[in-house]
Amino acid sequence: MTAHDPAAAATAAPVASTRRYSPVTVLICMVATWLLPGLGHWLLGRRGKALLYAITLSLTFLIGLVLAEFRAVRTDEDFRLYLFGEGLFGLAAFPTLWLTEGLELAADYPRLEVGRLFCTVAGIMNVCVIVDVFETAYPRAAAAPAE
Amino acid sequence: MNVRLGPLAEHVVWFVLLVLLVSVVYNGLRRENVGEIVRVGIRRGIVFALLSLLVFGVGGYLLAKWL
Repeated sequence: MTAHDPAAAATAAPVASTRRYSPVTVLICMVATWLLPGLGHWLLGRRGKALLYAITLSLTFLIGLVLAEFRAVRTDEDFRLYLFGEGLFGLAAFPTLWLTEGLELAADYPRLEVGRLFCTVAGIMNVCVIVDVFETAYPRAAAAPAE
Repeated sequence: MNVRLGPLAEHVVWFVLLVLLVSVVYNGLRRENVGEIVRVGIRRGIVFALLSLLVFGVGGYLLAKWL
């Protein structure tokens, strides 16, 4: 029996999934992740990473909303490009848009730019998480050692 | 030197926070152990933020002097 090396195990590449997922399942998990980061990983059984992504990305989006005084998600002309990024975090962006569309930009908001940046970065990071769902379901085979 | 330290310090704080959050997510894509993800992510995020602040701080100062 070989000795278990915790340090090596901790940094080792993920063990190839022995469970087969159908393409429909993976697609559902990816859409679920678009809605709520981490939900796809939760459905695939990676509960720890699911919670990590959910908390981190939700916190990023929430910080952005607070900094921008809840005016970060809008359909105004100056905000549309940011809306594209924010929309990559579906369950945060679209309810926020619906709930805050009545708020006016009546004053100068000093942290509006920073807030929009946080919300947009949260959405863009969610794209990476969606890709990670795919990689988790269909891990790449380890490269064969050179002969 | 005509620098408004209050807004500058505030932007530095938001920059460091954003870098830490991105670093944790980035390391989550490369590792499986959650504790290790957070530990390595925060450590590398702090290093990146400090180096960035050094580069942009010194560079910005030199640029301001030149201009």
